[in-house]
Amino acid sequence: MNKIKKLISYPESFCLLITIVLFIVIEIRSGQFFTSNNLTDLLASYTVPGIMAMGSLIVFISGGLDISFPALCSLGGFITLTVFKNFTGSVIFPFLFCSLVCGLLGMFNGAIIAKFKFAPLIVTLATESLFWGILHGILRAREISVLPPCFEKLQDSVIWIATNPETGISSRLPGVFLIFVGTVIVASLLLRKTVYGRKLFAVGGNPSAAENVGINVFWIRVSAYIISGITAGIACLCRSCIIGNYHPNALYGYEYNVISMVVLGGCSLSGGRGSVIGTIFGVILIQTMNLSLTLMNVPTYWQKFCTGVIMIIGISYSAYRTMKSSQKLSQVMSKSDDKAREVK
Amino acid sequence: MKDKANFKTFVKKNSYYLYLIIALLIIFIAMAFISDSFFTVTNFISMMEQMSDYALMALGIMLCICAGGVDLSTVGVANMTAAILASYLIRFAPDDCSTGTLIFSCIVVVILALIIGAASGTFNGILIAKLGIPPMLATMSTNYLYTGLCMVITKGVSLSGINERFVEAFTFKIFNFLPIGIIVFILAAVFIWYELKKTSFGVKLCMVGTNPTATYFAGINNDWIKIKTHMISSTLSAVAGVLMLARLSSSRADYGKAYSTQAILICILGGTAAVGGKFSIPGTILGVFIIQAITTGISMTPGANSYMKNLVYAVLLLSVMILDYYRTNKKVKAK
Repeated sequence: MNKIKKLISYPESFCLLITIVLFIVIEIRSGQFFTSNNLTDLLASYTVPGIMAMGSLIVFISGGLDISFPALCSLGGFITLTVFKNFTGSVIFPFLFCSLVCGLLGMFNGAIIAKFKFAPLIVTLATESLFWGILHGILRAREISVLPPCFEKLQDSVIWIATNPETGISSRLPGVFLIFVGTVIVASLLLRKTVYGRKLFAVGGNPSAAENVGINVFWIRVSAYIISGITAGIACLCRSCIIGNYHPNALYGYEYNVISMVVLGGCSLSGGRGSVIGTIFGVILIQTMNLSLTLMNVPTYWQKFCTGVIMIIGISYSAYRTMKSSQKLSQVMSKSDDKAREVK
Repeated sequence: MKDKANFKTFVKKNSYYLYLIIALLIIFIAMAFISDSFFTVTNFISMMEQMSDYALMALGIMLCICAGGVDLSTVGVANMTAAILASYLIRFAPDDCSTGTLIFSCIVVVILALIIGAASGTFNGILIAKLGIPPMLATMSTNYLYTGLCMVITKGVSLSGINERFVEAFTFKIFNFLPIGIIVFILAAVFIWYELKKTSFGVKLCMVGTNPTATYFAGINNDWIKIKTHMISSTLSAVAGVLMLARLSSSRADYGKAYSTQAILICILGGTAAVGGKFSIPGTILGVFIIQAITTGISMTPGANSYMKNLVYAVLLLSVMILDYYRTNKKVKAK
């Protein structure tokens, strides 16, 4: 019984509960939710925000904040797709190149934030402007409607195809979903089983204590932004594979989506707390809601408002719980201080 | 001797503003070479009209940054106000209404804008102060919510057909030169200056921004200060929404997407410290002038994409922040 109570007290469980309630509501409203092709579509749609959410999770755990990753990945994706325009080799090379470019851009972010100790919000707002400015102003990015030949195999690869017997619509789960699964596994191992992961939590939770213990806070912070950049770049290429083309403005304004997914999953914006499984629940919750409003016959112009209301409710509850638990902690600590004084 | 000392200390104390003025002069000089239509009266009038929208937002955001938070929902509040007021005007003040109805509608519009601004600001403040949501996330969420509400009202299209006389009244130019927007901005700046420098609210605001724990234990009501800050900020954004509605004589859910980023950059450029506790009204005003000059300059430069201004803002902001870092560090090292 105690174990169940402890499980329920995690913020991730609240997110899971809301997700299950949402599934049931959608199924009641539309009757089309638990069909195989709808579930396949949903799974395919978790790929891109999921990969980005993993990178953002790592930045948030280390105590930073990155708003510029949609601009960063659009820029990196455009550079990669232009450089590899007629490339017919293995598809690994554009991915590696994109990771390199986006990692360097992420390092630019991280270096400014960690060296000068500016507020990450302001710096990433400025670098977001910078990346959009370079993409549209200097590089004059246009839509790339046909991907390079090296992406053909990846575009056509499919894990399974699900057909709805009633309507005859079939959906495919594309091969890039495996990239998402791989990213989740790597992020989970990184955070839970490596010393680097522990250092991330330490730097996010209490940077001065981490510094005193001997952790190189500067490089941990910079590396978190590099990882965020790399995951964003991979996500952009995956998106191009799924949709079949690249559009420079496709991910404009996407940062709020991803940040709310990470926060709903129990990650604290001030750093030191977060988990991969919570982020996955957040991705599932918000992405399902984004896609299912049409299924529930909600008109298009109501969708943003409905999504916004549910996000605010979720974020409010999550933050309120954190506030209450920290108040409880300070009460407990002050009680134990009083007891210690009495004994003396 | 005494006069020299006063002048030198004045320059040293306000050296940051002098740098901004020098930057503004450099931009003006560059504009004189690039385009000959920059120094015309029409251009200055249109610059002042465009400036007043995000200048009001910048004043509001300056308050929120000083209190230790940030307000990313200014554009959402402005668009939502514009949508609500546009639907009110289309329904209750059509083109053929009497002058009396029109005057009544104008008054109602202003009062409605203030109420909507105060209500959304209070909502922001409650999310931040009472529920403990980090200000960035809270205001980003409410921005999404208000933009969504605006979409619900406009049904995704642009609401136009506002009463022409209303548009004329709210884009009126005094002496054919000063748009009403600039007058509103000057009045707002004076009001903010009075609140911050001459009332206890201003002192408490800076204290809350500097050290919230200390103010909590000193007995200051942190929650009320934060709520009031966001109320003022959202009210200013709502007034900006009215000005936008009048200037563009229509309302859309996605007007002014870049304004919130621009407004924050203006505040930081003007010398408001990002960590809170410091604010600078002359700096914000100078920042507004600089940003407007850059925007107009880039749109006048032949062959320059309008996205170039994002590039210029970013480079300008980052270089100003880095230069300021080294300048203040030099002072500390010298001691």
